[in-house]
Amino acid sequence: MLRRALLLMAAAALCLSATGCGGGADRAQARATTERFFAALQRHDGSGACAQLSKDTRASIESQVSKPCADAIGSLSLKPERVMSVQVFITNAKADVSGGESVFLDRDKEGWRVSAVGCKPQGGTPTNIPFDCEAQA
Amino acid sequence: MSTRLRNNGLGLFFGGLFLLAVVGEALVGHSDYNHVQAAHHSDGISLARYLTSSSFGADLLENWQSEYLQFTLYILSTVWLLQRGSPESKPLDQAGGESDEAQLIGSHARKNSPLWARVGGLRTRLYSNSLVIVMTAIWLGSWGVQAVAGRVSYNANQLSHQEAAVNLGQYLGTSDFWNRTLQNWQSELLAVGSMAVLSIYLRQRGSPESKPVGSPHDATGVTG
Repeated sequence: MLRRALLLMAAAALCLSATGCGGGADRAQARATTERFFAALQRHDGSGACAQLSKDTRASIESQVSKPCADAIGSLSLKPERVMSVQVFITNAKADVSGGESVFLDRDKEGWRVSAVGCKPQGGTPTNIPFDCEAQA
Repeated sequence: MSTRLRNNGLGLFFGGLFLLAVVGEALVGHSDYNHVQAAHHSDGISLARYLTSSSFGADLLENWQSEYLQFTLYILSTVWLLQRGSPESKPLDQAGGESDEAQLIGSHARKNSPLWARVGGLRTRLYSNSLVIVMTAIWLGSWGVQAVAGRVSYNANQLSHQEAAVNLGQYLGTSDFWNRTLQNWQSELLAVGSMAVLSIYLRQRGSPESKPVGSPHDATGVTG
């Protein structure tokens, strides 16, 4: 009885320590969204890049530059990067990319979407101070 | 059937209430989670996804660990600590582990005593402390799962504000972990301490948690 209870607790701990249960698929999907964003950026496909952004992030970029997202995204200081690692926690994710910057993602009904991009730590402790992002929701 | 129900009423009653409370917590917790998601302009998640999330796990386990800590401490402290006039205390001259004779172990065991109380040696020592051992294991296990699940939930919030995630060691030093822990501990310790003291002067007729109604206030270790 005790052994079964302890095994159940260990399984629950393992399960909950990822994103909740089923975290591997979320990590792959968040990575794929980030890769699609940078691939579109590389081929100067503004519409393709904007399709990977969350609704609020698209709106934020459009209000920042006063242009449709597809035209505005090229004017931001963003360059194509490789995804080095991805962390997922429930409905939020962070992808660290080759240039040392980070991309933040949220999961909505359509899947994983970029909520902030071109994010750099501001100094100090990055767990206490929000990253400075080129564009965010 | 009705006799079996009556003879197990206490366990069944609390087991049933526990299940109802967990279902209620799951439903309102899901609603609350999606309310916060909406406030952050994010989509909600399904009930099934919420039930397997660390957010639900942390909320559930932080309460479990404090309950098991409370009862573990209570079982252990009432071996040595006394409270004059309280039915929760042993008589004032019986502090400690008591004699083998009083505990019906080894050569003092009865025919119907559990096997491990009769055999002596390590098995009897283990069995003599089995309640605290199991309660402590459940407390530490659920506290550990609270930490693991709480970290995931905390990190989801960190990332939603474009802040870096913390590892488990860092999470154990956060105010979030200790706030979740201590807010549960204080309420459990208050409840159990106040029960030990209030039962000196107050009565509940028929309850073994109370002294008989007519018992004097200074009668200690008497249940009715």
